[in-house]
This record gives sequence, C-alpha cells and structure tokens, in this order.
Amino acid sequence: MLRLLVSVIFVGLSCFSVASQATINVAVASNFKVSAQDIADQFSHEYNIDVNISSASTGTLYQQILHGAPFDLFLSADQKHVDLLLQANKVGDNQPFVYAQGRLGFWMPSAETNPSIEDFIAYTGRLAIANPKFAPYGVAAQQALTSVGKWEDLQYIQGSNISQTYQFVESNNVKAGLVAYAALVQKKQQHYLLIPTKWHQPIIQAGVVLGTAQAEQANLFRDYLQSKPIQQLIHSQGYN
Amino acid sequence: MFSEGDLQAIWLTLKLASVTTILLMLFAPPLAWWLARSQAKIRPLVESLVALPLILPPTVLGFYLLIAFSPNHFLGRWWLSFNEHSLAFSFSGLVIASVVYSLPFVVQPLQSAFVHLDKRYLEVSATLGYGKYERLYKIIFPMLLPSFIIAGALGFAHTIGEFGVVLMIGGNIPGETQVLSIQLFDHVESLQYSEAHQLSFMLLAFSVSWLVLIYGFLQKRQQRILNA
Repeated sequence: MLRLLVSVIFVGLSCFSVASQATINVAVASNFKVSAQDIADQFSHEYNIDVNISSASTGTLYQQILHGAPFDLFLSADQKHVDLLLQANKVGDNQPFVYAQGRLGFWMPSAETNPSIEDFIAYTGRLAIANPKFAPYGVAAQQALTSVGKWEDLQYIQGSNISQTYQFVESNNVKAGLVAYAALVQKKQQHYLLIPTKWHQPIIQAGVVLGTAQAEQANLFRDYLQSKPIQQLIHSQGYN
Repeated sequence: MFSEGDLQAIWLTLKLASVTTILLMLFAPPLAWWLARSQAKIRPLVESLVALPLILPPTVLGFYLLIAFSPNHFLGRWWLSFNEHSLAFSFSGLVIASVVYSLPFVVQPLQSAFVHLDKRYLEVSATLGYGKYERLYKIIFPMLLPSFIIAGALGFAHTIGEFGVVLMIGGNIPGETQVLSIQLFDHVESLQYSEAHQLSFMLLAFSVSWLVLIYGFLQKRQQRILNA
C-alpha cells in the first residue's frame, strides 16, 4: 500500500515536470540577469530549448558550481571566477568566452542635470558601491576612485552585488553611487555620468560552458550569445 | 588569531545583541502580559504581528525597512530632520530591525509563562494587601525569573545570528553595520576560506554552548519543580 502511495506521488510529481523539450540551466551574475532573460526567451523560441536562469552574485554562483550545482553554463561578471573554475577542473576542455563588457555609471538621482566629471571629482559624503573585495563592479569602482585620487575621501555603503548597490541609491537612502551603467540604461534613469574606461581595468564579463550532459545545448546558447544581432542587443543595453 | 576586522565585527555584534536585548526586555514584558490576559478583539491581530518575523523571509523585512528608512517616507524623513544620515546603513537602523526581528523570541516565552501563571497567587497576594506594583515585584517577577532569563537569552542569541535583514539594510560599514554574519559572508565571497572557517567555528561553538546553557537551566528548573 505504502509502495503504491509512493509511486502515485512520484508519478504525480513527474507530471509537473514533463520535459517536452531540452532544458539548460544557466547561472547568471545578477547585473546581467534581465538581459540574459530577454536573450534566453528569444533563444528558446528559435531553438526549442528551455533556458532556466538562476542569478546571484558571481561569487555565490562560483561557490555553488564548485560544489556541484547543476548548471550547464556560467555567465560571470568577471574573468577571474571563470579562470578559477578552469583551474579547479570544473569546465572540462571548454574555453572561456567574453559576452559583454560592463561600464560604471556615477548616478545621482537628486542632481538637476547629468553630473559632469568635475561634479564626480568634487563629490563628498557617502557613496554606494559594490563590495570591492569580491564584486567585479566594486573592484572597478575602487580603481576608478583611486585613479582620480579620491578613494580615501569618501565613506562607502557597500552592496553585496551591483544590483543591491543600485537599490541603495534608487531608494534614496544614499545620495549617489557607482552602479552598472547597463542598469541605468535599462531602467531609463536620469542624471548619471558614464565613467571613462581609462579609470579602471575593463569589466570583462566572461562565461564558460560547464561540460555537463547538456553541453551541446549550452554550446548553442553560447554561440547565440556571441552572434552579431545578440551582441548588438547587449550593446544597446549598456554594455561595450 | 582573528584579524582586526573580525574583532571589530565580534564587538559590534555583541553590542548590537546587547542593545537589542535590553530594549526588548523593557517593552516585551508588558506586551506579553497584555497578550496573555487581554480579551480585546484586536489581540489575535497584534499576536500575529508579533509572530510574523518567525515566518516572514528576512528579505521582506529588509526590503520594507529600506523603503521606510528612505527620505521619501515618513519615518526616514522624520529621522533626517534631526540626523545627518539615513537610518539605513546605521547602527540605529540595525537596532530597529533587530528589535522587530527578535521580538517573537522574547515575547512568546514570556506570554506562555504569563498564561500559565496560577491566578490564585495573584489573588492571595491581593488579600495580603499587595498593590499592583508590589505584586509585580514581589510575586510575578521572582516566580517567573527563569522565563525572563530564557526570553532574554533567546532574543540575544537570535540577534547574533541575524543575517538577511542586515545584508539588506546594513551596507557593510566596518564598525557600524559590519556584523559577524556579514563579515563571514564577505570572507566566503572573497574566497578567504580559512578566515571563514575561524569565524564559522566560533559562531557554532558559541551557539551550541549558549543553547546548552539555556536548556540545561530549563532542565534544572524542571527537576526542581518535579521534586518539590
């Protein structure tokens, strides 16, 4: 009787997860989540392959993959964590690829116009940034502030990832922040300055296929990401 | 063994847990008493609100607090009228969040103690001519001292273990909002595993000993009652 009950439950549950088509699981750094979802929807439509997007900070996703999380593709916000997976032999013989290059925006919603470079350099007080110890956009923020010689002058409110940093500024709890330029473009925000790339190391957003059973489908998605129309789309959403 | 940042985080966490516990021990007992005795129609609603942090994800609390703290809303505006900075990313903001978050852990043991308090003790003390406050100090408080200690200890421990809310409203400022759980998260995210191990083990050891202390205390008390 118990056995019957158990099998009924299992059959019942499996009805919910009938896979009529292949599915790939993609781990995406939180800054790229919205774009990745858009691209994944188009991809699913064209290739008949479902894409499940999981987003978190690059560091968190890295930990999960290292400990066997069932992702088929990893889209990191930097190159470092992809290289670390490579060194840990977690990616088979798959090669890393670059899918986007991030930009920083100095965002000050309360400003009356777009802040100029002089306004940015003259800014004092509290500034929201992503955590420079591990968040790629935080690392770049620290480099940019250091290169204009004001790293020591400000007090920092640190988000654990760039999306949280955005939220700190958006909720007006802090006057300004160094956030992802892509988020400003996608949310149609105003009153920001695009930080010159010469002030920090490029924010190279790399990805890698993880050599799972779905590697073939994951490769298709990788190629799709690097195709010209999709690269143009990514570019129009605030990436280089 | 611990870095300066870790020590600062340990000290800050103890400070946060202490301030939170003191505040809770001041206003949780009257609230618990009211919940235990009142027949008012809104009691179930108040009781639910107190219990809410037990089931609500900390992210919900953190999200709403961040909105409430912003200058766009009443609480944030009021605070900014006599403070330079927003309640978000400040020690005071964390205290408010912790008080809400740990409230049920303090109120519920007290409430249950008050419910089970035999009415006859109060009646006898009334016939002895004790006033309201005398009854509180001479009868209720000494009889229920163990429940007060447990309520305080649970509130303290729960605040030490707070993470989600602080992550959302703290902003990770050393000495101000960078508590132990956040410092630990930082170590893990920045791949500093040996530092993470040290802090994790310390928190684990603390939590186990603290709980053994509380439950050991409970057991002794139970034996005393059974033997009496």
